[in-house]
Amino acid sequence: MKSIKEIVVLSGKGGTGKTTITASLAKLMNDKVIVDSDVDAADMFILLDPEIMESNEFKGKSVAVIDQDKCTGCNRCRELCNFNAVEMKDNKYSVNEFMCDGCNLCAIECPVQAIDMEEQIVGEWYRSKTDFGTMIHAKLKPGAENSGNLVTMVKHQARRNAEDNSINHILIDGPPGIGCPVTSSLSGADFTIIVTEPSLSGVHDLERIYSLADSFNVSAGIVINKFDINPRLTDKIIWYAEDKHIPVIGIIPFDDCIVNALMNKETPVERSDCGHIKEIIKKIHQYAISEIGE
Amino acid sequence: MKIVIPSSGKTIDSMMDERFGRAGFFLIYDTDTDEYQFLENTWLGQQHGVGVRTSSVIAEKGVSVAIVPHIGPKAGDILRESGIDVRTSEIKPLKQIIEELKNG
Amino acid sequence: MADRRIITVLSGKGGTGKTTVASALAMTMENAYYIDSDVEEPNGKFFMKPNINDSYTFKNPVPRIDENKCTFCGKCADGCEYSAISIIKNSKKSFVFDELCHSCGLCWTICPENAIDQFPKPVGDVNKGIADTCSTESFKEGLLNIGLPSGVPLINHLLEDLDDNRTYIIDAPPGTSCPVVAALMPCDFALIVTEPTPFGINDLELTLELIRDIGRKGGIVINKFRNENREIKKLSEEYSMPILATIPYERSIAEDYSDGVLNSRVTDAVSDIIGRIQ
Repeated sequence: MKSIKEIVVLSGKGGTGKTTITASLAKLMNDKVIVDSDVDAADMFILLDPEIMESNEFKGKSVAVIDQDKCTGCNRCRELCNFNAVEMKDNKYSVNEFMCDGCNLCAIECPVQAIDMEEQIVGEWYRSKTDFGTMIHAKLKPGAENSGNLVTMVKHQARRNAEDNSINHILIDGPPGIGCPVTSSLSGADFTIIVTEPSLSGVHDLERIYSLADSFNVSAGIVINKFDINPRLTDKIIWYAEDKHIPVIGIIPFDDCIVNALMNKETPVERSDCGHIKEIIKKIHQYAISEIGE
Repeated sequence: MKIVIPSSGKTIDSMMDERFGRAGFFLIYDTDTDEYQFLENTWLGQQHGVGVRTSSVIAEKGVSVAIVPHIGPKAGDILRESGIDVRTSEIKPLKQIIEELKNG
Repeated sequence: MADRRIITVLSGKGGTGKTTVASALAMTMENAYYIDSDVEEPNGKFFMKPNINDSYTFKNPVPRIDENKCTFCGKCADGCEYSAISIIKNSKKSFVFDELCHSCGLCWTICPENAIDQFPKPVGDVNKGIADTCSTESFKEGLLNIGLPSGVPLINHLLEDLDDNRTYIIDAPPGTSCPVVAALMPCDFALIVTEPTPFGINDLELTLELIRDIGRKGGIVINKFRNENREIKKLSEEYSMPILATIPYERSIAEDYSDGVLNSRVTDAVSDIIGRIQ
């Protein structure tokens, strides 16, 4: 049995071009399931135009609800809550659903059993058809928690879909940052493409995201986007990459044709005025495939 | 000797599952009596620390060997510290793994 | 209380210019204090150029089980919503997984044997200092330790105990989930920085929805502005959050940003914003 290989595209800093590059790769690559794991700002659907075949509710954490008829106002829940989620107004106690972490402590400790935990639907995940293969994506309700769990869920579904259809690769558009949705995206990945840009923030975040990928033993390749906005910092990224033995697998200029493509909900690889960018992304694709095998 | 193997299905003709914590089922097999049972992984629907939950349940089942393709660090710690010999194997049919184990 | 203002700058989509606008606001408004709550990737320091004079590690309690007192009853492990504890009754072993723990306190509160102690575990660093343009403490940031799942406790810590008569500018993390909620909770006004691309507009709507659900006033800044955008205008009207300023799409702004320099186009826009929200 051949095992399924995962490529995840990350950036640390947001807005470096992660989704544009992932969607371009999705159009170049064969034999894959596409995943958008940036579930709290999922944008890849805009470029891939998926047709939703199946949609499923995603249940998140439960949230504490206080029964006003039973509550005696003893203040025990408010004292105990480490998330400051219990609010008191005019001697009435209530739980702020945005702050509640669903730990259940107040419900257990309430001396008059006035608190129940209510399960919440915090999002949906979808299995969709695109012209470039199956796509698994999701939408998290704004303000909801558990985005890491929803990422785990979409990855699990993608893997099942790949197994059922003998597909060998999973291509994931990751979330920004280094927190729980990112660790969920990295966990089990075989190769990560880190898209960075030559800005002080980009360089700073590159170092943090690479340390995280390295701690997961996931090998990485760097793409420098908008390299020509700051040649000095581009050099710095290249030195950093050499020092850490990370290959730089693509260097992309700041080019209006990319913005124009996005404005038309297209990727650079399908635009005639973007031929030079397509060539660079093709090389990134070839490198990634050589890392994980056909 | 009782062994545990993560399984992709709940029959003895199934393949070993690719993962431990998130396997669909677990085969618990007694090599002395050839008796076996399948446990369904009821933690799969939960997304927090599934490996911790499943390995804690398995550790209470009195098995002495776990045969896994891959195991997460937390689940691995729980099994090993509980005195279970954790061995890795390629993904194969359950029957073949048991045969190979019996033949030494 | 009346004199305190808290403005959270957020964007949904990353890279729209949130930090650029937040830091420009902080440097322009009188006696403003800048808080970088994007603890996964704090970058405000590159613009604020603070002189850091106070740094410490923020810690949150995690459980430590005293195996001499523990009877391996398993109540803590069964009760933990995060699977951060495992108790094996057969072999009398206990396991605590710090990285799964949310520090909720359930285990040490319910343990019948009082066998669980609280151990302070580092979450991240807090750096405070004096910004370039100020003479008093006017900058702080949180830097989440790599490998930790959630920055929320660190964000909440940064936003505790704010002074009564000062203006605070909170630079929020990207996205619309729990860390953003934490950064929005204390604010009186939410300033959204968006860009007129399909991505930007999609995330703008999610952000507007969040601000409305939480019940805050808000306004919009359009960065990388080229020409009038009907979709943004429509959203602005639908959610009653006005467009306060625009910053043009110019390569020189991106170049200045890359080196941590504020472009005059940005300071112009910030003056517009201040004029409209005072």
